[in-house]
Amino acid sequence: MTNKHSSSAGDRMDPATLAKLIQGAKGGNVDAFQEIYEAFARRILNFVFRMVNSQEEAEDLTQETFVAVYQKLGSLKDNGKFEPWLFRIARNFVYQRYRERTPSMVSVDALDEDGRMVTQVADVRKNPDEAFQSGELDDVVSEVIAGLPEKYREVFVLSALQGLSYQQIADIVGHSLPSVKTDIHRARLEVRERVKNYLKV
Amino acid sequence: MDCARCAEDLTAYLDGELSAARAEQVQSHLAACASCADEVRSLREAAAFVASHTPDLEVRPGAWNLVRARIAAPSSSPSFFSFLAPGRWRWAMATLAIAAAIALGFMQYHQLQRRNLDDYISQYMRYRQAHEPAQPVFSDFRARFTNGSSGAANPFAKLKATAMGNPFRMEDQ
Repeated sequence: MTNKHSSSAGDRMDPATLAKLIQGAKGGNVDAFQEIYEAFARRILNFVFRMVNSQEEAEDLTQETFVAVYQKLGSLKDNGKFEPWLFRIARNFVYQRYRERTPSMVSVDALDEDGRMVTQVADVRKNPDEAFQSGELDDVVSEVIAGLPEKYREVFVLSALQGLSYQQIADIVGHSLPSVKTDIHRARLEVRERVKNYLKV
Repeated sequence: MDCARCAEDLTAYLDGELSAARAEQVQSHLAACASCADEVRSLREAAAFVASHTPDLEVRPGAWNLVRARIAAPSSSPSFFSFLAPGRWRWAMATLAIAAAIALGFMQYHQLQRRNLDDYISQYMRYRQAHEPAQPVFSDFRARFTNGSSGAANPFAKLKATAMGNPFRMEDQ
């Protein structure tokens, strides 16, 4: 990892350029697709990483996502919806990977009360002063995010870290706008609760 | 706007997802309510803390080459039938396939029914042949009169001779 922190909203490609590249890629122009890849690969990689909490798996699933995107690009009718469509494909790969995991690979502790998967996390209740002094805050935050229930984790990552609009998130996760709004709010409250001791420090 | 309503909207307010009118209502409430103002401050601090402690992974150099190697192979030599794959063609083909499967199933079912009936008839015929006399019943009845075994003459013998002619033909009258 680098020290470059997520500020995904800042490096967006302008819609006209993106539409032109998508059109080119639909016609089989691999160079145009490479430009799309370079614009979005980092964001997809980090979205997937926050979902699966493994760099190796995130890299693998990012590659799968872009291969599928290139192959299915012809089915994208509205080029303006490319971004949520791309994230939706990545999300599908994440869930597919979850399903492929045998039950023995998932401990009982890794399931929340609804039976949904929660990534195993280390104890984040370490002494905030120690964490602050030893520069472990990045790890603490990673563990906080990884410890969120899956339902909240994805909307939190998409809104707080990827900077997507609520409507785009609703398109990605396939829920209604009010439901997404509520989930994001609850996720933010949950995260604040888990990091509040570090805020005081 | 009351505190409960304001609390529900705080995250959307921070994310700039409220309508202008609603955002203004929240803002007015925050200016007047210290508790909600505290709430929004702590949410904002938590968001800033998380954003500043979530380092991004960088894409590995050469990752694109792996993607390119995988997409180049199938796209460089599209199949002759590849025009069938995209969009509505796929749906049309799927519908056609389902209709064909239903028609085939229907035909198979009728053929099976017919075969069952044929089997039943042939079984029945075999049963008849196995359990009934070789000569038809009528022959036995006829023999009784023609052979004279019972001593009685065939009462229909004369009638039979005339009955062979067509009663409706004028020349026979």
